[in-house]
Amino acid sequence: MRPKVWMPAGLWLVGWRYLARHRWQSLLMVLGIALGVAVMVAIDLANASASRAFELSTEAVVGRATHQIRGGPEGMDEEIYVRLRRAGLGIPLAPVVSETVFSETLGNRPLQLLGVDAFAEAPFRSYVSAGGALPVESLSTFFLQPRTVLLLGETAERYGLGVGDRFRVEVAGRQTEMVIAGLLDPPDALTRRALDGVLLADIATAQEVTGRLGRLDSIDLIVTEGQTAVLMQAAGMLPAGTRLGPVAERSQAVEQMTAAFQLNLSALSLLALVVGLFLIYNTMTFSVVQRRELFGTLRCLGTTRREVFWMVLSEGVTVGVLGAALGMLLGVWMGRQTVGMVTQTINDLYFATTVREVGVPAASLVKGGVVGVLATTAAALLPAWEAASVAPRLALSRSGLESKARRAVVWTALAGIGAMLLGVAAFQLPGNGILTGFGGLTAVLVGFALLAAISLVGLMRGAAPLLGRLSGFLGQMAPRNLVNALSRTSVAVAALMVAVAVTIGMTLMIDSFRHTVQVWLASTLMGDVYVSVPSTTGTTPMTALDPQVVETARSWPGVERMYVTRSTILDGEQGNVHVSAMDNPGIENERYYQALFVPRGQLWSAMQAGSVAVSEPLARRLGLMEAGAVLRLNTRQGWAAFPVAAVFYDYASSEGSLLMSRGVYQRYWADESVTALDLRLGAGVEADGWARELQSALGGQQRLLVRSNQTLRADVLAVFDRTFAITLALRLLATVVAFIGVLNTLLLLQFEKQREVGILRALGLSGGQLWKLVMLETGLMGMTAGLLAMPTGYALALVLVYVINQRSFGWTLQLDIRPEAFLTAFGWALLAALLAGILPAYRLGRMPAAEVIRYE
Amino acid sequence: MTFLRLEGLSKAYTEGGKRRVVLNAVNLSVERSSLTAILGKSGSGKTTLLNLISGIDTADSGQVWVEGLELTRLSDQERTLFRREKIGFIFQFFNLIPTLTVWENLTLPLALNGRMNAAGKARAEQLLAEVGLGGRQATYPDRLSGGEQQRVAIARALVHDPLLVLADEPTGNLDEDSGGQIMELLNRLTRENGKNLFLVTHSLEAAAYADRRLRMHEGHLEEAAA
Amino acid sequence: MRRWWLLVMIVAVLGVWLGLRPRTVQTAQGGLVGLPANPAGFAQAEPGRTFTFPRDHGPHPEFQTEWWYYTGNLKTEDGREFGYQLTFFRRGLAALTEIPERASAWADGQVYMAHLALSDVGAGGFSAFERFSRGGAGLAGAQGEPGFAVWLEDWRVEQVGEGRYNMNARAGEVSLALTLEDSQGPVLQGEEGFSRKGHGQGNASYYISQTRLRTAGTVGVGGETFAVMGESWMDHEFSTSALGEGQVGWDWFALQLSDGSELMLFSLRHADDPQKTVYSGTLIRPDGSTRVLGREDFSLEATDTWRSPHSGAEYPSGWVVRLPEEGVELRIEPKIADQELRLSFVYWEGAVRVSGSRYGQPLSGQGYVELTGYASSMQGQF
Repeated sequence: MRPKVWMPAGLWLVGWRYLARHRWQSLLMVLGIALGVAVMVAIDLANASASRAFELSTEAVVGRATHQIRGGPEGMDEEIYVRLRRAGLGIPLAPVVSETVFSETLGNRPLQLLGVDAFAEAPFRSYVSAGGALPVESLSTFFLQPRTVLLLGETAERYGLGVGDRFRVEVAGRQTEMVIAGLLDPPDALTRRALDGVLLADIATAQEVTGRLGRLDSIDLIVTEGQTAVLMQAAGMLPAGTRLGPVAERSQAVEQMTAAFQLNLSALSLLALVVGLFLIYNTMTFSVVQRRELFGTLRCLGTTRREVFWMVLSEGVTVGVLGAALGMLLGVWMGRQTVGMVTQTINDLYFATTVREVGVPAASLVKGGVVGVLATTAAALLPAWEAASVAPRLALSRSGLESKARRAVVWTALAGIGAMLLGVAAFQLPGNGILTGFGGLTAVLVGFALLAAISLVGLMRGAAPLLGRLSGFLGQMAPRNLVNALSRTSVAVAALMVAVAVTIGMTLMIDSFRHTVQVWLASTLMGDVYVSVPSTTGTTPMTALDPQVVETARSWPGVERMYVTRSTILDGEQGNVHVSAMDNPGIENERYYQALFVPRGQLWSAMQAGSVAVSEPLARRLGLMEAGAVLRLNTRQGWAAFPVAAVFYDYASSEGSLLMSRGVYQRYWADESVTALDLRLGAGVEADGWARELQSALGGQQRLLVRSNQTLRADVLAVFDRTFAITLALRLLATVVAFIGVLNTLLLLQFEKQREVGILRALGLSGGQLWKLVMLETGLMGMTAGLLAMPTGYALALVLVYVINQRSFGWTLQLDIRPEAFLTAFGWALLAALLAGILPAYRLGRMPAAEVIRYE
Repeated sequence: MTFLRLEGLSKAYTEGGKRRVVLNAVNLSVERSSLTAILGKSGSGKTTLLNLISGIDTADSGQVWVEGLELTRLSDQERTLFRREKIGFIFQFFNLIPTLTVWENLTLPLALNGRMNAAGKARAEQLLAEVGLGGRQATYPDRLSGGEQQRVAIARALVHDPLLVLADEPTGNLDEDSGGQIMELLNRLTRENGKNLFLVTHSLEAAAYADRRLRMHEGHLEEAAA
Repeated sequence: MRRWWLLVMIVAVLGVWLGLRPRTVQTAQGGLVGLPANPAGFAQAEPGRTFTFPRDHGPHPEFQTEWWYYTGNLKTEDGREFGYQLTFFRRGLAALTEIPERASAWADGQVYMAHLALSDVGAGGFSAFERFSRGGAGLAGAQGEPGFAVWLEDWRVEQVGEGRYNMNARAGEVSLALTLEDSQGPVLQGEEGFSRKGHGQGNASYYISQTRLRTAGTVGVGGETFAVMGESWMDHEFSTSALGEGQVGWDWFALQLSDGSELMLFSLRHADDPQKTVYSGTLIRPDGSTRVLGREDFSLEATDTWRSPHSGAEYPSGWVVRLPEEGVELRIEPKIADQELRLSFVYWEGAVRVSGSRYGQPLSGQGYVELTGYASSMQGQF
């Protein structure tokens, strides 16, 4: 009598045959998991691709540098580099002039114009010295001839360009012509990808093209550990306003910014999988319940508990493996569609990536596959355990299980309330972590899901008399059927409810967000016409306007007043800070303030005296929420402290930004450039037409965006909607999975009831009545799910708006509740359930009564 | 030689708060290679007795000895493995696994015992032929009549060469003719193979095949007249 | 006389470009094909040039190639000997007329390379370093006026007074901080500074030397700094011409003798015909007068060889030089056998000791010898 750990081959066959014989259920299970895994893989792929694109874009610029010296908004004097070089520091140094440019010829996309000194490059950017096949003629052309660049061979080929060809590039709104001096042919794929978006130029060329003569953007250094003395020496030679820091500092800052966004996407992507798990759990439980007799027989025949357990579990694992495999394939496909959306959003919100093609990171696939299989296995554990606990009896009653399920209703509900309390408690945890936020969110959601059973019982008890009056005995029968099969119906209702609730929650959140942004735009955009240079990202334009453009605009007929803004990135003690320096004295009335630390009406004078106003996300990020807070910035005269006079609401970026008076900015940074104009027109001037006129008048000098208030608002909202496009797609997918879950449950329920239905049919139930019965049942399930989804969705919206968004992005949103969201979602729940009833009703109706009875 | 011995076997169930004694200190000795029939009314405890002998259920008190092995002292896992190897089951409702073919149902005990070898398969073939279903290997149970299903069940009960075959109302779900055929078959096969058969039935026709007839009555086991 | 550097330099620049940092010319041979060797637009060295100093110590970008070559023998008070080499090479990427006007200071069309080597005679140590830079933006360059200077980043020689120069260079654990003083003025080699290198037209360079620079300062090596005194030699050459065919390498000697005279000799070896070897030299008498030496005026005989354990090349390592008309016979021996530089180009350049006689009177001295074309990899390259 040796006990077996695993299970005999015959049992495997029993399980496998079961799956094969119940093709529909198995297929739907596989599909449910596949969709869950696919969404997860897709988002992970998209995230990983976006990150990788950023890394590659960064690597293309930074190379192997460990440290960087960076200057103020205008870069730094090239003399600094020469001085460092001539100091004989004994460490590799390389000067860089780089600019994001735009070329219609090369795919209409942002490109990195990277100006380097090839002689200093060898230790830094491998590809600069990797141009093995570069003909020597290119070398002297590259060094000697103006406006020459090197391009990745493939990139040039793609756009039909070759050595010596000219192409147009837009730098800071100005068109210029570049010549291809040579083609790069780096040996490794990674470098090729990084280089796809790079125009490699000699540093002299880059200075000339960008108009930054005598200036550098950064100096790269390679400092090994233990060379701190050299680092100190170098730092000691730098003038005020420049900063030497680790290279990672900058990219980390950007990564932190996008991390919140990506984490949100990942969390959302898990949703479909979670809903998919409900489906697995539900279906597996079902199959176990259906087969109680079989398990009893098997136990009689001498199958051990453990063997039964493994048998059922292995069914789950089989489904999991198949689903995960299919999901990975599907995920790669979906990922390809998604990556564009994610990258677009990141481009809109954070930075311009110049890299487009990145491979499929194997880690994303593996992650998705493993999570899929593990989750399915976990979902199958309980049913497997249930199956193993079937006693070896010869005759069994199914009602036993159901009565057990009904007894558990109260306990489940209590557990649900417990989970919700746990979630709320998680929000109170110190640290304001995004992860605890999502943890709490999950707990609340699970809590509500656990209420599905009690809601179903309650609603059906209430509905039975009413329905009875409306639809006769069928009306009474339907709710009773649902309660009688509570162990299965409640899970299906929970799954559908979760999906619908998430839809409600997300819709409410996005509505609130959009509403908030609209209100904010209305208060912030007080100008009639705005002028700026088109930017490669959706963020604040930071390219300087031609001084002539500024003057032309100022004196253009119709202008009553004009305010100018200089937006740039400054070096702060806690990292880079986006700054807008402007000269609008009415600023106090053109923002909503969360906090004002100076008396009303005094903000502008405080700002003129050196105070600044910070946006809410910045204040949250840097802890500047209270009176007396001070922000330290690296000025041309060294570090200076800027008192925070106000915190204003702002939804333009999650990094946050700072408002400063232009006078103060010029005093500290000696920078006269202007990046945006805010024009106030005289009464009666039609802004749109006026803007078009100005546009055509200015067009010759620099490519400009001249937008009326209306247009700018619409543009901002378009970016907003683009940002949430992916969110909408994700929640739709979760609903699809939930729909599959409901469909599966109903199919199983109907299948189980074939005998009963057969008897009813034999007793004279008409086909129409049968349809009615099935539809009543599914409709009731959908209704229950929809009703429960309303408070759940509302709670989710609260959490998303007040916890997740604030923690992830630092934005306070005004909750904007519209009843449509609830009604639509309820409608979807009902519709999904009814649709799911069609197939089972059709199948039952088609089956001859005799056959149905005999089937057993 | 005593093959099966029951000593003071008692079992009671609680139903709706009321205790109902099903077996009351039952004693029994059964000789090797015999066919024993247990008669009795519905609910008299016949099935409970089978459950206790096969180790499916445990007694409140008393002992069950099979071939010198005290079943009542084994764990659930040990009893399962004992059952797998030593017992063949025939049920009133056939209990064939609907998703498996006739052949797969038949050889399931072999698979469970890890004896799916040439000898085992040959034996299964032979048994299937003997129950008159040779050539029906690939058929699914729902394509068989009740009698045919039960014949498969009989073959399944014998395929792994058990010590003891337990049949619970094997003819209870069959018409008279089929029932008769099944009993013929059961009788022949168990005797030919030198097995012990323990038959629970309320059919006197079926009981007529037995060497020894016992009757369950109010928790006691009594010898019944032929 | 090191116009061979022209090739070396192209190789080295390419090396930087390709990231190959070729250890031997062979690895870069492929890259040599199709070099823009066309000296179109560059000036050619022709006899009869008038030199003005200090301006002509400075750069001549109208010529394609130019170098400033410092070598010297130094000694501490207690007799520890050092030899040093600091060399700057300039190469124009195109003739001045071909270089477009550029707004950026970084685009002056010049490339600089420099070598630094130190021979620690007492410890038998030798180390060598190499650097490249573009000209322009003040990173590397040279000037003649108002005072002479040549530099590549922190490696720098700079005039600080009449005939006085400061030299500073540091790399790894090697450093030089020296003051060089020229009391006799520049020496024009060859025919008044016009030095023929081959038979072809334009196969020549302008060649100016400062053959005896009194040197004092410090030498750093292995974390220690030594106060040293001694004498240095400076060569400054510029030219455009391409190379003669079949020449495999050269042996070059710069000797400072105890009687106050200096001797510069070179031989350009031909690949397959010893008869085609070009011999040339200059004897600088203590009074500053010079005598140009031709093939028939001196004999050069190798007396020993040394095989480099690093490159496998076999170099001559000891010579006897005879100038019959001057009554001079000199024995030359390396102060250390291994003074092989393995940089973008493998060659031997090292401090040597001189002993001998002039009309029977004992004569001693020291100097520097450069040997190229011996590394096995160079065979058949020229």
